[in-house]
Amino acid sequence: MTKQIASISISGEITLNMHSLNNEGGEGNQIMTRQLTIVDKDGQEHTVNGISGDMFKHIHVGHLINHAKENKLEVCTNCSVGNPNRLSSGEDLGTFFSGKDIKALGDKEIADAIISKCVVDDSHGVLVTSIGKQNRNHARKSVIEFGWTIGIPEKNNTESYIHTKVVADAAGKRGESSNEGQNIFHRPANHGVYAFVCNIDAYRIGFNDIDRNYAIDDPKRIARYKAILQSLLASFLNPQGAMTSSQKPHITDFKGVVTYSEKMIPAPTISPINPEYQSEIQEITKNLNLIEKDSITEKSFNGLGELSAIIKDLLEQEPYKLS
Amino acid sequence: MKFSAIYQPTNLFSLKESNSTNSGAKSLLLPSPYSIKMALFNQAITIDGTEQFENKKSQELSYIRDAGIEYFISGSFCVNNCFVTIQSLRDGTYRGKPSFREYIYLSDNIEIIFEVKDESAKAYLQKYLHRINYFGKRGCFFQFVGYNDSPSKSNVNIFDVKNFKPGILQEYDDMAEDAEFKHINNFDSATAKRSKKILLIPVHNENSSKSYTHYKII
Repeated sequence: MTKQIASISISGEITLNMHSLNNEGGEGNQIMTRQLTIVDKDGQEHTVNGISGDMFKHIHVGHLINHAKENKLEVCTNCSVGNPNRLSSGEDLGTFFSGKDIKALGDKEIADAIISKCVVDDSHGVLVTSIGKQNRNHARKSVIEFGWTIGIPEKNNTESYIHTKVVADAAGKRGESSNEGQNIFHRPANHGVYAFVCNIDAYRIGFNDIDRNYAIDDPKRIARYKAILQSLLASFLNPQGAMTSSQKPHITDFKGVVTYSEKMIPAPTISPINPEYQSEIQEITKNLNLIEKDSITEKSFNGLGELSAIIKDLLEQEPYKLS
Repeated sequence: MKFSAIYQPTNLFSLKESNSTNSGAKSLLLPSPYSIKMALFNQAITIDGTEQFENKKSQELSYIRDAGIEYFISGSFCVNNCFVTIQSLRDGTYRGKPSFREYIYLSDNIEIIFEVKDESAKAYLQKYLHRINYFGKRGCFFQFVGYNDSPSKSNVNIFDVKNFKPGILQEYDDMAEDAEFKHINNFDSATAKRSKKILLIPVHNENSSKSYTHYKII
């Protein structure tokens, strides 16, 4: 029997090698890597690598756009070319509402338009600031959320290597002022086991937060649910983010716990920085199931193969529908 | 009567101080009473709709708005200074702009203590509290761990100049006593009604560098 999935969470330890997904900026000819300081249970400080949630969101959107185009799902003009402005710049919505008084539009109608126009705006959220040429603000919250991916203390490190752009006849005769001469610069290469946390509120796919109705029909919601999940799996199998053209991360392991909820209670997450996270999630699942019977299921995975099997099973289910 | 809900931080926490600018924003160390109440409203509206709050004398509204919120905290707070790219609107188009943000690593669970007037208010809040999975900025996950009918004594108090104690001071928002639903509703043009209080967070500076500050509980 098909299950109705309200939310899905992944808490896991992902091993990334030789990546540079966490660049903070450059100083001179040195690209700086982003690091965070955290504290363990004994109060000991650890400075670790950190990849912001924006990076995984970016990777996920890239796969989602490809999937949407391949499967003929709705995508707005900006998203179809990977423009991060999505529907916010107002052209698509201006056309959609052409001939209507924008100031008189209700928030419900705008929310409906955002959801029905584009799977990316529906699932990753958007802040609309204009419709056509007129100013009008409307925010849609994201359906899928990524937290920071944080290096687990004593299991991560960052190194730097030198990169030289070889230019023929590089004696400084031409091009130096326009950065066309021979450049030497330093790039980070990071490695480690990282704590990864993400959550999908499947019940909110196509959900209009204003009037609490669904702006798209059930087959479209199911297609979007599958698109989000398949793109999530693709994000782990083929991360396409900062510097991946020359420093594609070697993902050598991913283990952890997938939890999913069949009721309006969020699927639990615990950070894998906590060494006991798997048993904690099991304990919390047990307790939440006492509060609301048979609401949460937790499944451990050891490797990307097992994770793909869990996601395959979830793909056969449907998104929960609020009545 | 008092009870508490215990949450385990699952990710870095960030909640801009309400007087921050967009380009530079320090973060509160704890979710403010306002953000906790907004998380409660979010769950209540998602599950049971807005109708329950629309009456001026809505009891459900008063259950959330009038709840007193205190905290029992322990462990360490590591405030990370980060520059992130935000999308800033210029000439009608969003463009990337480097901005200062603080992301905080909380090492221990936080106990949020609620003071409510009766059992029905307690039952109402407990219908939603275990469904909350983040406070503040989206992605700042907290995992509900359990309820406690005998809560700890709050160790985060309102700053009192006549009773000086060590710690750091932060200004926290709460909902105004006379706030109606229109003052809470993001989609209403009415201005939000908030009250403010200065809390003394009982931590000391354990260590710091240009990129982080480690506060430890006193």
